[in-house]
Amino acid sequence: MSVNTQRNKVLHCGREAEELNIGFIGNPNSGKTTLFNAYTGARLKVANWPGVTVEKKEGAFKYHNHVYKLVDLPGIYSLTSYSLEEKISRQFILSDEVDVIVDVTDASNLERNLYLTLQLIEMGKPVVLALNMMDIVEDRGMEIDLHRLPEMLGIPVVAVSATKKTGLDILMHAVSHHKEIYPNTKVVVYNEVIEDKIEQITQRLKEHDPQVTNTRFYAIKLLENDSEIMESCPIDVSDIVDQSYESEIIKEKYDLIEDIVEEVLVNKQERAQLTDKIDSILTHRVWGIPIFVGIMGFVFLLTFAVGDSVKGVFEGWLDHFGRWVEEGLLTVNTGPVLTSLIIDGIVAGVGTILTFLPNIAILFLALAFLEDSGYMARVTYVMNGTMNKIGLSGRAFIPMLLGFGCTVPAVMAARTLENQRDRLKTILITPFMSCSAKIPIYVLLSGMFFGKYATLAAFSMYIIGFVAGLFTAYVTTKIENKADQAKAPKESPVVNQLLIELPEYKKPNAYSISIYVWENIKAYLSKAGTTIFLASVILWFVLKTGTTGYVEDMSESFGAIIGRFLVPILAPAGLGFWQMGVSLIAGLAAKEVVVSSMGILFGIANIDSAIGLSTMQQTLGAMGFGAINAYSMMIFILYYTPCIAALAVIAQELKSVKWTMFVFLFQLVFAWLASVLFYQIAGLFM
Amino acid sequence: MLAIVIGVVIAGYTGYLIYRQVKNLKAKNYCGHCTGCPSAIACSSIKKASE
Repeated sequence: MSVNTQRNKVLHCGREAEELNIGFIGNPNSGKTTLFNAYTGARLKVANWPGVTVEKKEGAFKYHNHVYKLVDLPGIYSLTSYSLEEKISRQFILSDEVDVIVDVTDASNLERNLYLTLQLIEMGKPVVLALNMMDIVEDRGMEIDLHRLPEMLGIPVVAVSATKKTGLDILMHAVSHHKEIYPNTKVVVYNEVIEDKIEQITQRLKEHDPQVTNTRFYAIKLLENDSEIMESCPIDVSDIVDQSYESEIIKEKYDLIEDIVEEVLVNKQERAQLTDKIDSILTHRVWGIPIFVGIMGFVFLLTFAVGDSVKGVFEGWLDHFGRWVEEGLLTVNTGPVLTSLIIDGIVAGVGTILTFLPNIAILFLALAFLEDSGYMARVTYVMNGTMNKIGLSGRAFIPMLLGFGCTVPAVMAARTLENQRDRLKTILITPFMSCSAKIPIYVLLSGMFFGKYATLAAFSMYIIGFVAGLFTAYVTTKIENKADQAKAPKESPVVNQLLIELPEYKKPNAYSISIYVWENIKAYLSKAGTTIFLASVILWFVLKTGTTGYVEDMSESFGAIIGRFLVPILAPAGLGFWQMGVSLIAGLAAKEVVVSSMGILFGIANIDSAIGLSTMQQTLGAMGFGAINAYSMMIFILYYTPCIAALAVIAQELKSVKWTMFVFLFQLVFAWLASVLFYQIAGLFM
Repeated sequence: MLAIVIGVVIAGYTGYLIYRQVKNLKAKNYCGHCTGCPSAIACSSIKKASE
């Protein structure tokens, strides 16, 4: 319990320079990370929905010969210790690691943001208020009195724009001038009873440790019955804290905030906001969901159709590269085995994956646009009713939405759900959301067999994956409710209500979008050069070695032996080919490997090119693999067991081998049943 | 000679990838490709918090 007043000195550029630790704190979605990026030149992910920053991130920059170390903290609404983010942020700012706090506030939501500001002032550390998003305030025809606000709060206030990079110098100027100016912690004067108790606790804390300077903050927290502070409190105050005064303290803070806003916010007349107008359409009770489906349909149309049209350039480059490698290997006389490993294994496996880069880039560009504009947060709100009907909280939709990118963070995001049952159900259905790794499979198979309906066939995977997720959740809820009714007939099932902040709609920021897209492209390339590379080499070994050693004919390889074992199981789904069995097993490493394994299996390096597609279609056609088989395979891949990384995270989150095995088998059996059902029924008509 | 160098480079890189994959698994970084992953920060912070 102490406030650090020591300045750290470091040697910089040959002379002594001052190092100042600045903590950026504020409500979620107030622009902290954008401001942090603007100062440090970092490219941390920012998004127009709450909860993007989960842990503190550090960066540094030089300001007038001083080294300023910035720490971006997770967005929080208060200094209570209920959520993970609040705990992380509070622990950090209470520690000696931070010298000055920059409270980044959304000026367009002053009422909500000032609650945290008052708590920060009560903490007693130097605080500078950065009023961000002033442009929105101006757009609404309002003004904030920048003279009266600092007077009322007793701390410096600087108007900044993180996106337009204005006011940044003035903010740091204020920080450097106020680094040792401690605010008056009695900014909120509570009623007599509370003030009397604060005084008593403060006295007792000072008697115990005279060094403690921010006793008022701790006294207030003890009166709020803050569990963490109570546990760490070295003195007994049970005779003073006879009950929790939390609600009274909150109320009095909001009374003061009301007074402040009344006085500093000029022209606060009601105006029809653009956000409200857009929301009346996009979050409409009836049209909200069809509009969402339409928007996602458009996103995938861009991904598949436009992506396909621009990837010709890529294919050309890869084709040249493949030929150049082959000629080079011939020149240095590498021998048939090494040449086969490089051409049939690495180039075919990794090269195949790289051709899908334009599709991936377009998908993430579209998702970034939706996120940054503020629409994605609304989707959760729109889906809340549907989620409640299937027995899940609307909050469970966030992991499902993340699942369209990658199942790993999506499964992890299920942790935010309050009860264990909701978590299990969400983890069970999240892998049904088609992750971006499945895009190459859909593009390849639909492009090969569905001609002008290719985009529709690929998009249908997202729809049926989503429907299967909702159906699974609905059925499991029904089973649960029946079991509960049997145990306690009078109790009705509990559904957790959704509480989510809907940010203002805004023009997407080109810089934020470019970071988002680049990070995802980098991840894709990194995966191609590591996981896919390794999987391709292993696959080559499995497919080029057999009981007699190196084999030219893959049908004699170990891979073929394993694949043939699966033929009778996969045959009812129209997938009774050993090559498909090998591809599906390989897909457990990473879903993209299904496609790269096809490249290796059929010896086609540039599988996604027009020639590659036609060659493979002919080969598959000769084997008796047609459009129904292709769609059945897409269904199987959509539903079957997620990749090893996702499975490991599921095991980690569920902390149960039994439940992980259940998820594994459930996905596998579901995939098999769905593809068999489709293949058998479709076979009757075609 | 160059053929041997190419073979050694591929074998070395493959060995490194296997080593890294095992190391990542031991450290509970199941994806094994945190570099460049846009979810790496959120992912590691959730892990740290649970520890």
